[in-house]
Amino acid sequence: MHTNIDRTKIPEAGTIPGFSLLDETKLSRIKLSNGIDLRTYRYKKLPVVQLYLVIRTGAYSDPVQKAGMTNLLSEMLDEGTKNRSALKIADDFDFLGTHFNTWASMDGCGLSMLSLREHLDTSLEVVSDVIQNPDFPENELTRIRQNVLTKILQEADQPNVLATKAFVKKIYGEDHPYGYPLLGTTDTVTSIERGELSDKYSRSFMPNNASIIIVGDIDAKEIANKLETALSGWEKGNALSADVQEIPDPGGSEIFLLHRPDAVQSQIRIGHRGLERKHKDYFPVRVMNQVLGGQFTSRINLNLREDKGYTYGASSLWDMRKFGGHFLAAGGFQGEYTDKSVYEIIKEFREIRDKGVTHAELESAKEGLIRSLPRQFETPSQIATQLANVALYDLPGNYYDTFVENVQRVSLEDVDRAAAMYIRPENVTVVVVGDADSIKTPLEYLGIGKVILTDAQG
Amino acid sequence: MIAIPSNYPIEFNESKYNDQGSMPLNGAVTYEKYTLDNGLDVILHIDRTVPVVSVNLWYHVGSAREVRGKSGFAHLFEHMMFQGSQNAAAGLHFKLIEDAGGTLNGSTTTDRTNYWATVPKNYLELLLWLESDRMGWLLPAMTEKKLHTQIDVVKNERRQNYDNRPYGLAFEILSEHLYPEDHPYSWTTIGSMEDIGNASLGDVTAFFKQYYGPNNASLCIGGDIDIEKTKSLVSQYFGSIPSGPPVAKMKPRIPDIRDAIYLTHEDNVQLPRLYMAWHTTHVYGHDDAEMDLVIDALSHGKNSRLYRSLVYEKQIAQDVSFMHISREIGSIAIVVATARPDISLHQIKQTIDEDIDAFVSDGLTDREFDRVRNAQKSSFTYSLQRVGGFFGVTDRLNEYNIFLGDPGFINNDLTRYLDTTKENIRSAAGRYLEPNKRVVLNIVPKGKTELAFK
Repeated sequence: MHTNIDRTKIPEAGTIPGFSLLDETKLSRIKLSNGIDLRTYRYKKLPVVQLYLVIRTGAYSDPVQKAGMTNLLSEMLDEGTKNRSALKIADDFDFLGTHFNTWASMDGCGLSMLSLREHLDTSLEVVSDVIQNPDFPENELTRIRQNVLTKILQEADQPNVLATKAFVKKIYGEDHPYGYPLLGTTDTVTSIERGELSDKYSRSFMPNNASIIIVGDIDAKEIANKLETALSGWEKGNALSADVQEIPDPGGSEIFLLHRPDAVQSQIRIGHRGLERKHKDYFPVRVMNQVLGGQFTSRINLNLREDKGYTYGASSLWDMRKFGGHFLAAGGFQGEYTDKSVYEIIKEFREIRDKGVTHAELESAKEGLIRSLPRQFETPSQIATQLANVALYDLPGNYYDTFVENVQRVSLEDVDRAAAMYIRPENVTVVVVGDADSIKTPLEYLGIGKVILTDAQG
Repeated sequence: MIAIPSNYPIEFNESKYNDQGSMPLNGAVTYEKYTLDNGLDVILHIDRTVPVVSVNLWYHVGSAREVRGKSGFAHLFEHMMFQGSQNAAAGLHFKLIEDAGGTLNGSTTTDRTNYWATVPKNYLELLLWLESDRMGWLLPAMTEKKLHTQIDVVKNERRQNYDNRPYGLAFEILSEHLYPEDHPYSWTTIGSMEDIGNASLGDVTAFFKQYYGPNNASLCIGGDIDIEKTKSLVSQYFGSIPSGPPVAKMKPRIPDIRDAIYLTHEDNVQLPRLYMAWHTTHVYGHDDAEMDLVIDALSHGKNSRLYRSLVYEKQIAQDVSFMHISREIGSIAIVVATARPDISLHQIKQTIDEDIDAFVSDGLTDREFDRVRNAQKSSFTYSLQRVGGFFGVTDRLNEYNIFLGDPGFINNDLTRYLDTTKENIRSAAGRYLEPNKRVVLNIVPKGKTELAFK
């Protein structure tokens, strides 16, 4: 028995479900006695506990001659403590089936742990040892440093990585920490010594410079008590202060071409300096980017993939950091269409800057952003990631309560103004990694800017 | 796979069965399964953690159904499934789901093709409309232009993920030598440039009629759903789609390698990498779980045998991984290790061989035995966090249903890992990881064949 339905009509959406992103009754924020900012969220579906440690000092604080230090520090955290060897730490976690990782970014660093509830106490014992007592053993440092140097060497194999590295270098320059890759360079990593790492550790790993996020099947007071005990030896101090210089944008446009003989595809990056994470126009810019290149049905992807078939996928993004950021469009494009791809992307920049977006595009971008929220709060690690971002970027405590409102408030004028103010098609840095022999001349014919042949070292 | 901006595509999405088990610690996974008159299996699973719903649809067809000369077609067809159907115009699929705040993707392996989307729960009917329209009314919307654009997109996918990627051709080379020419696992799901380019609209029609009928599919809907209402919607949208011809199940066909095969390939890479592959069993077959545990003990974590000796102690390798790729008509175990600068693959191979020999003669220690089983147990619980997406609960219910005819195996699977013995694990390693029964592939930097093992 099949009721007749009218297939020619798009089904109506039913009633929008009520959903509070982070139910306040499950959320709590507690200051521990040594200054740790603890944020917890009760999750009861499964007997698991997710922990994130967020240290608010990232690679932005590395001197440029020591680029890669924050990354190396994070990689060394679980390579030996005053009580446990590297193998013992790994064995303790693996035996329980506890997942443990360290992380580092331009803006912060830390670690994460996912444990079964039944193994929480034992897992916390090891985690708190790693947080408080890393010893940076010389022999492990030699091994990890070599591992990082080899990773840097292998990046030469990956055109997409080369393209992004060259792009940020051109955008921020050699005097700015954001101009360096997170891993550092061969020279900088080689020069980092044990004493420098332990010094960096003691000036950034402090309870008053840390947030701990806990999402799991555990009561806030109970976990607060456990952490008070486990981290009782961790002492406050004065964290490194930020000394990140503003650097003016280069004027005009230039194309940097990295030669990969016979490459069948060109990796392209096009963009310029952008905005910091706490910029007042965060929401208009986010909505505008959805239309431009932030989703599958964005202008850039529909044009270059679905209409022209030049690429498997193209997108644009705003990397918004603590101290500034950048905007770029990116993708891998069939070699023979390299010039056309660059042309089309810049054309899309110009279109949105000059003509803005349509009412339909605006509504669809806003609704998409709002409606996508529930599914981003499903798992403990998703919830913890969201809370960690609020902590790391020092966003308001009610950030997610007001998120929907803030998106809804974005008007057509706001988006058009943001596009006109922040997208600068005449002032782009273009990086192309591809077969220079066949694409250099066509790129010159575009007339965008000088085409400069360069190598992986920039 | 579709490349979704800012959500970079997974490169090679072979099914992996390592992360599975059974019985969450707080009770079994509940579901309801029934079959429509046209043969479509329907599985419903309630989870009200967040007000979203995920629709996951498996078609029991992958590149294993292709014939030589038409390689890559199952995957190209997956792309065509996003190009509109009779009532849903081209481009609407992405547009409507993204406007609903949803996320979606699809993937093709040797054995199956899956499609999924996750949206706020009030958009369930929209997903059912889109899925049913392309299951029942795809062909009227197919055009030459759409096909040719997707051929270009897929060729670019191949350039990006295989031809232009370091070591990107390794799996293709291994497959060619692991299987005889007429075995469908002898080519990869992406297919050859030439075959992709030769696909025609006639191929699209024939493939659709043969393999995309409801009787060759399994639909799983999970999340914040009302069972009765969902059943009624499923019946309205899918009930009138006619069955396709019966599709016979493929039988395992596992070749026997008698003499090891040694290959060397020069690539645009900085460091040499060694690949060694063995045939094992088939998905959910005898020894399948045991081989997963062998691989865990050998390569997962700093204390695993191979990681410890190659990367930690001798420091001759940058990385090592061992995978057990469980597939319907023949599984393989592959070890992959990248040499540190100036290290030859001969040294790497020697160390791996010694470690495997020791494992086969002595078996696991008690601590290793506990460790690998604990890892399976916790991974199983962790894997129940997500309802939708690749390897989410809906995806796995469909997997058990497609391969075993029983989604309920989700609640028994972990038993395979917990109830086995040290001796079963040791002897499985001995049966499959024999030195003369493998394909050894050296990938070396151009002009540096002296680094290869010969």
